[in-house]
Amino acid sequence: MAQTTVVGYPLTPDLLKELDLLQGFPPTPNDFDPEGTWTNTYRIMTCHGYRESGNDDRGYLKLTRTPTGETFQLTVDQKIVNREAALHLYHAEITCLNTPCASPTAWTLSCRFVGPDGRPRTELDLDETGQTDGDTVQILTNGIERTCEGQITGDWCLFEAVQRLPFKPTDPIVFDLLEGLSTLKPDHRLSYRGLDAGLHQFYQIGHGVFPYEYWLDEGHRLLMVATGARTYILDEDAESRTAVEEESGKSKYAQLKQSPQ
Amino acid sequence: MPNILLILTDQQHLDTISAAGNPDIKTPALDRLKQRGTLFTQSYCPNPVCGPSRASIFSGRTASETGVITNGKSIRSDIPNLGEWMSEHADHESIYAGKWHVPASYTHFIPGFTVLQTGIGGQGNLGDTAVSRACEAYLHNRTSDDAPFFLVASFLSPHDICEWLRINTYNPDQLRYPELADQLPPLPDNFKYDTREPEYTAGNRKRRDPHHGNWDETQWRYYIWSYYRHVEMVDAEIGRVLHAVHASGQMDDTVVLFTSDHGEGLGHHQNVRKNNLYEEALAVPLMVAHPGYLPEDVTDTTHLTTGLDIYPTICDFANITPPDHLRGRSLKPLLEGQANRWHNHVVCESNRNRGRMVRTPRYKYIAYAEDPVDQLFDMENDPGETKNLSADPEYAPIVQEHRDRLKSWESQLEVAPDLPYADAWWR
Repeated sequence: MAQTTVVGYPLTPDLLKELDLLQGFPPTPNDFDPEGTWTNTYRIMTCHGYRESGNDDRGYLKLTRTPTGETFQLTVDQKIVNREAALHLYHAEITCLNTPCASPTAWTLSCRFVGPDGRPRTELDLDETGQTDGDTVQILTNGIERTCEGQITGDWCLFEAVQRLPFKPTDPIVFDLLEGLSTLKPDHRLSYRGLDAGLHQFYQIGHGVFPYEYWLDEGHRLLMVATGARTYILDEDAESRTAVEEESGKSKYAQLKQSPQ
Repeated sequence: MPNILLILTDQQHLDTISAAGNPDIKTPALDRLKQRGTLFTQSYCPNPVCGPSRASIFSGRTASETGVITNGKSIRSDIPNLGEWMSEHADHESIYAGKWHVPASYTHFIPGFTVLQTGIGGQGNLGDTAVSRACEAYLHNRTSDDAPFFLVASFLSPHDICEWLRINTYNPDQLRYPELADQLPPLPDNFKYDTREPEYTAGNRKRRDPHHGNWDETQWRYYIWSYYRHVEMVDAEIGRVLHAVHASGQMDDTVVLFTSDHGEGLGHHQNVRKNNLYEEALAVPLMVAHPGYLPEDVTDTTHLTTGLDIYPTICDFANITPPDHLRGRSLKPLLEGQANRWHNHVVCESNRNRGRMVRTPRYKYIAYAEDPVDQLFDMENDPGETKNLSADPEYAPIVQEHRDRLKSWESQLEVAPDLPYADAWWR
């Protein structure tokens, strides 16, 4: 039977190391330039609240930044492994401004599902395009349009933006969050907190989310993000980390398919 | 024949809809749904634990009848779940996305349903988006030739508060985000409570995180603030699904039902989580909307409703006869203003068949098997349940009336075999 000692405190890099869920971060290359071209891949690790068990790698988030003159392109790939190996996949191409919160001006996003048998669930395909015009955001989902209003940025965009912010207290950066480039959550603020265990920290509070905390090294590379029970941890092997959960889920599915409960 | 959309959340307190008067939360999607339909405020879950409540919602029978008196059990094989009944008798395509928990939390194999998407146990913050996106895709990609749908969108949040409680158990030295100090919601009016309680209720509180973590007032209020953010998260996912119904031109042809499997302590009686028989764990939001057909922007504060009403209501909207022995009533005649009679009491079960709650329009009675302390509350003058009247001789006739009602209710039930406390005084 799994041990059940509560974690007790909010998730930080030091706590994750204490729980043996984080061995360390990959070294930041000397030529890492937050305003240049880079790829960061994060394992998405979720905490069930116990020290000994229930803390799993549920997916990965891969971000690639490519400068394009006065803007930059942010390529996003995210994979989440749901129970019985039901995969939820996102791919997005986002054109962003070099503003403090990396404001997106136009994007495409595809949402895909894959079943535990490896078969793409094409009947659940969603394709979106979006663009901003001042405060107006227009989104087309499978050809159906909707609009919303706000000075927006996306959660994925903020993973890029924090790397370009100065490590000093300033007035909070205010924005409306377009989460997943889809769901508007207004009235957010991003602030610099200072050093925490040798890493620079920003935090974000706003409507509709649990606070986000961002940890960066002296080279301004984003090493870890925590929001509630969910963490993003920089890891060059992130894409392979979900293999155990996937195989376990497929096995469970196959077992149930033979003998449903 | 209307489509039917049933939206379920997990562990949602009744007082978490901004349009219903909570100033500390913003729930635009639930607000819009309230404006398009009826919100029932005297609505009770059948059981304050996930699996037993969900089994009752999807079977229309009590936990003592389904046999699902705790998590991890299956509904008795001779009781058809709502998907099985609809698949056999209705024209609708029965579709499911999200949390099931009878017994598996998430599975592709739910009898009677085609499952679009599972989710992630304990992580509504991740899995609920997959649920809403799958529902969105299903709704967008339907054609006019398709059969009407019965779609269940079952979200996990705000149940993630359970993970929050384990991650934030210990009282920190100071508020983690100091600027929140003047934004934290107040403690509930019934934070202090009458300590004359059943032993189980008192013991349950001592096993919980605030007791272990030595919480002060700030930590309590930070917990409430955090819970409201979890509700806002699921509100956004609900909004995605509702928008998809609307944008695909199906809103006027769709009945939308919304409820939760049970409530959340939220500091009332210094409780967190659920698994007790106070209002905070039992009372849940219930909304029904069918724009153009049913009254809109109504708040019903009078009629007692229960999660057991969901099954007959859906059968009624689908124009099919429900199975025998359902314990609830269809809400449709009530919504249409044509109900000649209605529940004069509702009953909730709890704690592995040990606890019972009887709610009448004025009073609420709570009893546990093998516990000498029972509770009676005057819900009209003491809605916060702060004064236990059960030992007051003046209220003895009312206590007896409620005990008699419970016995009468129990006498009709076809209980599952081998239940604990099967010989309690009410049986």
